[in-house]
Amino acid sequence: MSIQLLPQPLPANVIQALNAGLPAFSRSANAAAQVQLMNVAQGGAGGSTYEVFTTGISGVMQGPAGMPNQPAGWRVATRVGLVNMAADIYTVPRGGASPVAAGTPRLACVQTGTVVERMLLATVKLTRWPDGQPVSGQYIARLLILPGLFTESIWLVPPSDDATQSLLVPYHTLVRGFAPDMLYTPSEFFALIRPVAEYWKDRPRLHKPAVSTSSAVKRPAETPSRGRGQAV
Amino acid sequence: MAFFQIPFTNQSQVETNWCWAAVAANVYNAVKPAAAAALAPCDVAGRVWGGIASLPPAPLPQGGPCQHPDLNNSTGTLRSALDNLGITDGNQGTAKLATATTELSEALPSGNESVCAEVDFPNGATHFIALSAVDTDQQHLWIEDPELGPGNTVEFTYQDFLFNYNFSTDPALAKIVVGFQKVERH
Repeated sequence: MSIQLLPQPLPANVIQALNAGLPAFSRSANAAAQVQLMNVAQGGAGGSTYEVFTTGISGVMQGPAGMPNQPAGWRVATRVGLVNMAADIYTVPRGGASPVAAGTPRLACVQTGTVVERMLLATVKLTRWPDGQPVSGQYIARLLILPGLFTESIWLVPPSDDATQSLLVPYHTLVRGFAPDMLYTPSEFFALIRPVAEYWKDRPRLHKPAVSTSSAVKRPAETPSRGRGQAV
Repeated sequence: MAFFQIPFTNQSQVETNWCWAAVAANVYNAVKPAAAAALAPCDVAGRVWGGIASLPPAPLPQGGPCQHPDLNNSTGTLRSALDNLGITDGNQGTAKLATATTELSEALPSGNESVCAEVDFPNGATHFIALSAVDTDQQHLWIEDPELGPGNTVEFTYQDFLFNYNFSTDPALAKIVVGFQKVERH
């Protein structure tokens, strides 16, 4: 038995938000791409949908216990011709002059390029693992995005929603130590991310508006390197 | 429809702490004279750390950021990099769509310019990105994030960019894009 990804249908209001928002993104998603994105959002073939979760420094510092339980939105991704494309529907609350309540979906952005391609390829590869591999079973494919910590992963969660039994496949990261197309337990995953979170933890903001901050520059010798092979 | 765009190559920051150097290199390359050599993020890090502001410069580990990037994965400020390259245009100001529109739409002879933005994620991390296009009718911005690298442009609604970039939200619902920094074309 290999890994089987269970479909997770998009809520009707998320599909509606995508449909309502796409015409304004015609520069990034032409008419054909908009049709394809809507087809995927409604459960059609040719792409993937993911519920998106995020966590930050405090979550990473908690280790596996810091796995988020509140979604931040959805991603619908597909390939149109040679272009890999993802539409992100946010459900996080928004402040400012046009406030949006938590849980209200709206199409926030459309992204194209190699990061989306790697996400789609990683998803396909998961379902093609040969039988007899150590990891198998049914999972829901979510995304775990770590804003400011340079890592996006497919987050495989069992139908029981037990995050301690989940697995992560980082498809995009700047953090050293991750191998491509590898599955990580939450403990293994957070052990690699933790040094980056520690770097930013309790660190004062370096950059303030209207202030020349050239004196804040740290020479490499003055700042602990977080490169490959460094003790953490 | 008012759409303004600047040709832009979004080099990857390569290292987790090099967003400042990558954004500075990328916007410099977008506004530099045609005959000037293009810069990589490690070139900018090396220039800033190489002693422009201090004499004598301290030796850089293992020959410097271009030779050994992982050993030189350190933070810096965007302002210091832009100052070093001579392309700073005033102090960082409030993030406004009008600023992006003005800078990206400027006509020759001065020419249009990219705009840098500072993102202060609610979780404590600070990040820099650049803007390469604006659609004033839709109020959309095209984001060049050096975390993502070349060819990974993101078209964003202005409001969600300001308040929720990368699925983030501030507990007090404040902006997480805290400022725009203009640059000056040479």
